[in-house]
Amino acid sequence: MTHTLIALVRDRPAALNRAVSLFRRRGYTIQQLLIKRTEQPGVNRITVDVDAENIDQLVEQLRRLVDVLTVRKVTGDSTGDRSPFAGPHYWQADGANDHVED
Amino acid sequence: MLTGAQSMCEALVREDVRVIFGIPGGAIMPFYNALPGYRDRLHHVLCRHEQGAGHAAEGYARASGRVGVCIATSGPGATNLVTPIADAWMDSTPLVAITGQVSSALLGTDAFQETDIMGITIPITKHSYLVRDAREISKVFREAFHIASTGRPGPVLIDVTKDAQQARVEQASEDGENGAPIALEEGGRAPVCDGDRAAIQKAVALLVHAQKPLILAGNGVIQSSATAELLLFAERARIPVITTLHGKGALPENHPLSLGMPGMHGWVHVNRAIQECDVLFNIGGRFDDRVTGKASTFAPKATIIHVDIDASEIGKNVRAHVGIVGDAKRVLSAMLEEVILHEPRVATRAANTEWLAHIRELQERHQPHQAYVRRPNTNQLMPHDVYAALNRLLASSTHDGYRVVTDVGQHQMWAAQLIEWRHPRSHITSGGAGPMGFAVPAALGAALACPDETIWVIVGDGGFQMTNQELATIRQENVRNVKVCIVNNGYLGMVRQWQELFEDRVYSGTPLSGPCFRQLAEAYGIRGITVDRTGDVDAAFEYASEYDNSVVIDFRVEQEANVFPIVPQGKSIGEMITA
Repeated sequence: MTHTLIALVRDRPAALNRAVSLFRRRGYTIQQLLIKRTEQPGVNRITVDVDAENIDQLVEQLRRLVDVLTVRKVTGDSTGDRSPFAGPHYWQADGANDHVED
Repeated sequence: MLTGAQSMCEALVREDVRVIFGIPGGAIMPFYNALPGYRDRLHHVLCRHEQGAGHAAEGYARASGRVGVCIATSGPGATNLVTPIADAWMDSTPLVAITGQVSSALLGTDAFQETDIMGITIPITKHSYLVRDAREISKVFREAFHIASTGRPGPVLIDVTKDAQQARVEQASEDGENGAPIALEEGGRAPVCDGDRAAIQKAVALLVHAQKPLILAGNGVIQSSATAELLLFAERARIPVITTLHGKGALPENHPLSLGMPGMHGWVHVNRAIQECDVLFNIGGRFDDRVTGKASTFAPKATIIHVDIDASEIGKNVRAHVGIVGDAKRVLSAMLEEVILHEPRVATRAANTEWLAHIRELQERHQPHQAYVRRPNTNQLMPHDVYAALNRLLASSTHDGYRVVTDVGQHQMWAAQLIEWRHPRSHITSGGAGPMGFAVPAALGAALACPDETIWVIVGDGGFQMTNQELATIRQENVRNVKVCIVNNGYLGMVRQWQELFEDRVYSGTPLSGPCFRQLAEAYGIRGITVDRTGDVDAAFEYASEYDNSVVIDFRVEQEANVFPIVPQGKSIGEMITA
């Protein structure tokens, strides 16, 4: 299915390259891609629609890129929050990624 | 005022780098011009191929736990580093690869020896830099070493243009020269280390209530120096431990709770234990396909607890019921605190004892009948004789301080199976990427990291012929503690084995001739020995061990010996071929 991801990335020459390289490697095609300056100096926002099967793992792989500051998945589940600035340090040492299934 | 090249050297000294492995060339010449000025602090090892330099840096890193550093020129020098960079990526080895690049005015013009090495290595590096401004060098190096060595370790590439190396720079105040640390931009990737406490409590509760719990220890336990914590936790909770190829040494294999290696060439009783266990606790392993076999059939009865420093590993290959992102040492420490709260329950339970007895019974039933133990009744020198002799030597009390570096193939799997591994970082091999030719240069790196230890190399005749020119480096550097054992069967053995078992014995492209390795070693100025009789093996090892210099022993073994057990690729680990 198609998912929409919003990522804040550092304004560096290879930042977009690194991100889309992950999509290519997984064989996921990009339906729409927008990269734009934000009002925050040195930070760009990538909005991407991608056909992906294992989107959660892709999101984690994006998050481990040094030039990627935050990633939000805004479709495909109940994340809901569309504001890319809701948490400039969304990925932080709060165990946000830990999960327990009962 | 410093040149950019001097700034690179200053940065390496600041990062406490002592040894670098490389080969000069046009675009990195300014760096090499500056290097003699740092002769007393930076030891440069001239390798014979950049792949060798990269693997040597990996071997150095794997033996010492420090960041390995390799350096090459632009174009072909840089592309020859691609294999070791990919290897470091797959095995989470901290590596900084420095490459020269054509001058910034020529970038993008297809200049002589210009290759977009940053573009080439993006998928196989944690991060990479193209430095065109000498003023950035100091900060980039600080960041690169930090990224390579923190969180999940891995390779970082620094590509520096020739004009940036030549330019003169003022040392900026944030360069650390006045003691001020360089501020690091962590970006989004500040590693999570402690793990979520609630998830840890849940994991411990699952483990102490399990009837058939099992610990799977991987590379993360070695990397985070968590072996003491693992031992304490396993003993407290009384849970048997299996170790992946890169987890070997996480728990001494002579420990009563140690079961051995799982997976494609794992023991029958270990794979059975996985298939029967009710809680599987993976600490610092990534559920590689060589461990899991067909992932959908892996550990079908188990609740899976997965601890990894890299969030993207959780649930990647095997679904985790409890996923914990954290450093193995810190998570195990927290789990140890938690398990103490459950102590009375653990101590009074008989289930774990029954479970361990059950696995040992499986081991007793299967092991004597399996080809890996059952040496054929033949006068022919078998690979098993080589391992048995080395194992005896390593176990002898007089022989302490050793590393064993293996290459890729049959000999590597025999080494994993037949040597009793007891110490973290004593087993150095290439797991994920599997580049033949790893062993000899990696041993060079390990030898320089551990000059007082004996570095045993086990390598096939195929892999040896890929990088044996590093024997010249070993000689030039007067490295005296590398003992190379070639398990020479005249085939690309693992491929031949697959051809025998799965492809109707069509030995296509696998019969392999070679030079006389004894003479080859002697030509490099290194003592060479040929062994083709079982009765001579022990004496050869004794000689090599006592001889005060590096040695090459050519063991001419049975040509068509196989590695058993084996799980055919894509099959469940429940479906093992044992002979």
